[in-house]
Amino acid sequence: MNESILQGFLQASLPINLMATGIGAFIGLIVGMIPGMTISSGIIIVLPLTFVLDPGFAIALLLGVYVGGMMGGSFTAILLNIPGTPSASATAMDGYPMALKGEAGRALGTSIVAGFIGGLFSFLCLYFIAPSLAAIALKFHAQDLFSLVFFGLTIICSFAAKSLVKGLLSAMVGLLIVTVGQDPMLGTPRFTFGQVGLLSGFHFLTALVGLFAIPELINNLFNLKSGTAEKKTDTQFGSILLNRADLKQMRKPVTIGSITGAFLGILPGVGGPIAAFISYDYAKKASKQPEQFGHGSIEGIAAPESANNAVTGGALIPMMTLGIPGDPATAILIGALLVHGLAPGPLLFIENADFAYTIIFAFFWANIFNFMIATSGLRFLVKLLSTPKAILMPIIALLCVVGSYALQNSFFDVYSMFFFGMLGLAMRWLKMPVVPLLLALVLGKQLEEHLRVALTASKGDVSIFFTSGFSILFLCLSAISIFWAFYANRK
Amino acid sequence: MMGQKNIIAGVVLILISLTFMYLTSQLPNRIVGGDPGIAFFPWIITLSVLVLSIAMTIQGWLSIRQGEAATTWQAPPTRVIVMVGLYIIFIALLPYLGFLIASIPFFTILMFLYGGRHKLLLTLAGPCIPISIYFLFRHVFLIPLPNATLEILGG
Repeated sequence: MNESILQGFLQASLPINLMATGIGAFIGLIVGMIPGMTISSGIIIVLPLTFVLDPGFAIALLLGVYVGGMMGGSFTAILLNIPGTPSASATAMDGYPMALKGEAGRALGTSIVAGFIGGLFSFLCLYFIAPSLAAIALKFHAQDLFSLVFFGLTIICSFAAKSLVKGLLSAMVGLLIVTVGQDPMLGTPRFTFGQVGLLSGFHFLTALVGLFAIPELINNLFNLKSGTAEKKTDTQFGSILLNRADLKQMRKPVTIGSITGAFLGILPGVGGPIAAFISYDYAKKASKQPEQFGHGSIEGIAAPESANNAVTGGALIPMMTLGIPGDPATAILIGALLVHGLAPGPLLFIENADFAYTIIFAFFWANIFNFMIATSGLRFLVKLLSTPKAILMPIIALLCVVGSYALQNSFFDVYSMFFFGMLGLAMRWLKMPVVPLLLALVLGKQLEEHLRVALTASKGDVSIFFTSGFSILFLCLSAISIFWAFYANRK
Repeated sequence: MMGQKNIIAGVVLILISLTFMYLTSQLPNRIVGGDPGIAFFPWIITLSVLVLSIAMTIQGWLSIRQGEAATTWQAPPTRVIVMVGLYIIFIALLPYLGFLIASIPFFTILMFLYGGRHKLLLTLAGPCIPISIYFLFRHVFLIPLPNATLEILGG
């Protein structure tokens, strides 16, 4: 194990991989700063480039984008009151009032430092918790795995949807799509209509590109019409260096934010926005000056920023150990790893322990580079905000097609990407959350396989799901999450 | 408005789930050992979709009955329709025209749709960016992008 840790560290610290992490963090910061672009879109743009790259380089690049994107979102939240990413919404509540008072530099400095500490804290959680959780997960049987995946889906539905029916429906439509292709046990074709392209089902990554990128392209056209997308950015925001009093004031909210973010990140589907708002609320309750929150409080920036950056490491824990994505970005990372023949899950720490630690240390370096680039190149990054959408959006539109085609050199993937794009648009029109569908696409095959393996082992006796402690625990948690969501909806 | 949308989507999903139920009933009933068979999982899912779709339709109907303000349906802006149409034409022509030929006009029109009005920008970036992407993928990442297959284009 120790040798794997060392190998992982050395692999992640190779100059070429460090360069990839740095480039990724730079791209992530820019993507995060652009209003209307999500971190998932940023990763999708970079993804096609990674297909031919070494897995270590590819994952370093993608993790850089993931971590950078989370921090970049707060810069526009502070400077323009437009959160670059949904996770930065809470930051705008105090960041923008500080900018209006002429303290934008101080607000940006707080955001960078708090985000950096949150990221490092989540790295420590990832480093210490992930291997232990993977060791526990190795003891899971098919019935436990089924119940776990089922729990993952229910919690996502309840968190991701204002309407439980729509959340569950979104997940079920995803599972229905997963049934297209060969069945996972016997390889018999289902719903393929004799089409060879459908035999292996819809590729998860084409679905992802379509579901996220196409609605965003359309959304940006809408924004263009209403004129809400573009705002001039002032690059004169003063010094970002914090004084001792500021750092002292940040201690408590950063601690609250880091712990809240890392913990909530582990729960599938919770994501940055919820962690940011919960930690903001906790920090306000714990503050000696709660009345300053909402009027430009350093604590009001530090708590959500540390939380949403801590979510990143937290979300990597279930992804790496259980193969369950914590948020859409980690779902894409799963897809990227699968393209390289690496299946995230407990066996990753047994069969590819070196690579598992490469991911963990690449995440560490991503946080370091992110901090360095954000502190040294902030003014340059802010200037890049003025990149016209007239160039950016067509590039994304083209890369969606290129990325889908490059997966398997197949036009079928391009057409299915477009089909999922239209599906994503329809779901947006219906205010139906897209995340449950996405995660159903990731987890659907596993869900069916574990269900059928368990039932095969028990000769069709469903009581097998109530014979194991883990399975009972996950099923109880699933029931609680569904009833809680139902209760919250009725309230 | 949301109620109407829910009813429309609910009815469409009911029809889809019924179609999938019929298709599931046509699946071969191969059962090996204790395995519940290839139709088992699709049956659970299609039934769930059917129940949830009915629930969504009822929700929509109830919200209309409770006096939800009826609003007229607004067509999407023309540029959105143009964008979707353009995308369909682009991916339909891509196998025949190849990436380079198909993407240059596609990219230029998209730039215009997204507010690009500078003639020099449209003239330069229109061809340069797709060509750069093509060469980046083909020669740096060694990922072949589609070539023209029409004889007239030398495919």
